[in-house]
Amino acid sequence: MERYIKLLKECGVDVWFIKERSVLSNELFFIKKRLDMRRINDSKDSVITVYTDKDENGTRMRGRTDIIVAETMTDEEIKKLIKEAKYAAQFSLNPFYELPAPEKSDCIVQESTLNDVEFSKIADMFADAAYEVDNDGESFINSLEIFVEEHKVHMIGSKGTDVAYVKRLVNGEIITQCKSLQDVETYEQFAYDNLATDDFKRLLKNTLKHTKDRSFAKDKPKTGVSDVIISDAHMPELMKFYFARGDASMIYPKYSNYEIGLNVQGDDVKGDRLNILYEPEDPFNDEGIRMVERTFLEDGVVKTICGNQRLSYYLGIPQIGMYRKGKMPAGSVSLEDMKKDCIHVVNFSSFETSAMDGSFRGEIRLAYGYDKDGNVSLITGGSVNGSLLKSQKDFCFSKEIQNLDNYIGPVAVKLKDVAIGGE
Amino acid sequence: MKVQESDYIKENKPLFKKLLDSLLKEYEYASIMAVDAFGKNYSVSRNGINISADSRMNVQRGYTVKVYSGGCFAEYSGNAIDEDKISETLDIIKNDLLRLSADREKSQYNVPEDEPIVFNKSTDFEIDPAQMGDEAIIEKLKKMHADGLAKDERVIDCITRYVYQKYSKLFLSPNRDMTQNVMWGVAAVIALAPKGEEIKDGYRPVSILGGAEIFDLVGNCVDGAVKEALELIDSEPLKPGTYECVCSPETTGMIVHEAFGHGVEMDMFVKDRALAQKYMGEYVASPLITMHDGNAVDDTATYFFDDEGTLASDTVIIEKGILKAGISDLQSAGALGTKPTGNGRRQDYTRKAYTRMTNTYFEAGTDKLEDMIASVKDGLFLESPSSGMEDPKNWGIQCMVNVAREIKDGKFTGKIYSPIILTGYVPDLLKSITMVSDKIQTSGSGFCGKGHKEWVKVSDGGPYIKATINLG
Repeated sequence: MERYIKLLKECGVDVWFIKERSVLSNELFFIKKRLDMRRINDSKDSVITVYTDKDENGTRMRGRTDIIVAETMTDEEIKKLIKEAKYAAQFSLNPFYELPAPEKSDCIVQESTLNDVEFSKIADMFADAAYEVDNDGESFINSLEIFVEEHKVHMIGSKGTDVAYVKRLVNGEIITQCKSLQDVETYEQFAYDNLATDDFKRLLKNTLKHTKDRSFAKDKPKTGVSDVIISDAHMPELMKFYFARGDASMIYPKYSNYEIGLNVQGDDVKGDRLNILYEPEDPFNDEGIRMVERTFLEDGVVKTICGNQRLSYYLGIPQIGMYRKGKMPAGSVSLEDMKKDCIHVVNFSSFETSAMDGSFRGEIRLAYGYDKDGNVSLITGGSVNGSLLKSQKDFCFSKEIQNLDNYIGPVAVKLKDVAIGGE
Repeated sequence: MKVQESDYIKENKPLFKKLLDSLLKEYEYASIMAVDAFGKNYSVSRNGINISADSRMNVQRGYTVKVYSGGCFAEYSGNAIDEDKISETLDIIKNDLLRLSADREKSQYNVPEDEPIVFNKSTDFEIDPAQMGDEAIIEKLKKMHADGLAKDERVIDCITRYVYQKYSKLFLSPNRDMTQNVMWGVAAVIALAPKGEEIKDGYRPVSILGGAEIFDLVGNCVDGAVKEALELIDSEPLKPGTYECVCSPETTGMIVHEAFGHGVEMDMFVKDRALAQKYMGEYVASPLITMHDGNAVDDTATYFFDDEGTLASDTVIIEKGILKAGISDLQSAGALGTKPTGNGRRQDYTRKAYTRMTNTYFEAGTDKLEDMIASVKDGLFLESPSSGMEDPKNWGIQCMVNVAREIKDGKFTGKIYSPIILTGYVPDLLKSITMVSDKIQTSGSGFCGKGHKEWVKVSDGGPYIKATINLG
């Protein structure tokens, strides 16, 4: 870091920010029960942000450019990049904005049970957990990828910021297969910031069950309109709409009408009101701002707007950084009680929510269809195509809670009158 | 002009060769893939002006070492290379990498074929973006942004973007010493217009294997994006059902890529995850359809060799409706006993190589677009694809398009439906193709993921096609 600071000074850059980041990862790739590939990645680089201030027709402007530099670069190479960035910053001028107040902190080791075990053993612990529950006989693990990562981040800024943190996480993907009646598979991603091998086993057991059920599923849903239950890992995708709408990058250019005090669900809400807390994913964001839990929506009313330093300054709101992780309270109805006269989609090809228009859609890989008496049928194929702007009046969140890496909250939500494509 | 080799690759090649020689003293096979990539993102929008070179998708410098030990492969990736690092890397591979999960049963492979190949090749460009300069590029984007906003007061933003990447890659193995130098670029316009709380967007991208001459191709992008955003204000949801459709080349490209292309990635064959494996030699599409992947066209995914040192090729996947071949990386081809097709690609040097598509497209047919439209009695014209998801195991389709234009009695009615989701069974859709236009277009504006990760630059496209499609 000292080297970069010296080179920035030699290039005449007065305002700057450096984020040094290193990643060490151990990676295992399995096909069936065999280990197909092992990998170690050990890489390190830094993002240097160069700021330039200028008066343009009497208006104070600030430009910035980011570059990536590697330790193995020579001083001459780095100076060339800094000078180019300084030059480029003159042409990315935006109205002036202050940088956030500097933070200082010793290196924070993010609390995690992953810190309690030897790094090189973690991938095997997750692999052992997976294969421990891979004993159904009919439904089995087709392939598994496990990535164990240790991230070290150190940020220094010319205004005095000097913060650092270390965090470990485990992520990957798992594919389960079943050949009982039809040869089918289920794809699931996972991500944990703790040694959550029991959660991983639960995920795998559910995935194996869904895969077996899909093997027996033949029928598409009936084309029309139905109440739909969205659950599990699709919940954060659905809630992503609100995070995007509450971000300064959508509010400043007026893509979103969110402002403090706005009731985002409107007045005629018959279902559950939205209560969402912003949760920190890391101790500090990319701009060196300390991340803490904050109230985003309270009973559907906007309490906090988040965003990057520049747009937050323009909007005149506190520079608190951007949040992507949410925490929601439990609902009042159990998932079991929701299962009447509706379709519960447990697996999509891909489930997507648009921040622009609030639409959500996906092709159904497995769903359970429930009639008025709760009798169940298996569904595969067809599609769900709805709008959160309509569905948000009638949210019904489950009592059960799940804890994912980017979402803590109800396992499921029931949405009314969603368009179904099928037969 | 030819893209120049990076100084980093040139200057450090002796060190990489030394590292390879040291590895080959201990391992039966080893290879090194080193990359030096630089690129910039430029954008102008209501959010401001941005110039950055901070995306690892575009800017990366590092290397991947692959070793063959005990009948299987292992990889180390890093970005520090000097004399000291050579012995350190050898130690990490021996004492850390090969001890990872050491007691488990492992897949067994043969040593890869390694016929001697030596070359240093470059793609062409006309205007170097670095020479054109940040000021000129931003001025062009600012003008397009202003033009878009001025077209209609309902347009709340007109986002203009340009991104380019110039990379050099070096591949070394016992018998191969190859360098490639490539540059691609993408420019795009996104116009936004509100409809109540919804924001409708019109999107027009262009892509090129080349440099800043891409700005000669953006002519109609602003008009197209603004027109589409405004038209979408009056769009309606579509009643789900089965429709006679004419697809734009971009929509054809998404069907080619998402619906079928992922299903012939042969690492999926190795895992028993692809239905295509069972249909080799059988009709999977209309006889009007011939499908390619590879370097027979120049677009953003054109290269000379892949990230495992296999030469790029032109794979004919479907020939006149019959499934002929899949695409493969080195390891998958080894497992299946086939010849690798040059499709082993990494997101960046820190990631594993998988079988990935490159430029994937249907060949042109003989029909004229106007005849295709005129032949539709009651159907839709599908354009502006937004995303898709593969289902190689069951050939389910999930593709999203933004615009469906109603056609009645061979004429556009002016009515637009949006958003649209394409569903159904891939061979049903491909076999239903009855008309194929006489020209193709490819577009490399996006990145492709494997599952939900491992993003690589791809292009896809083809002609206008007429097919029967389930829409929701």
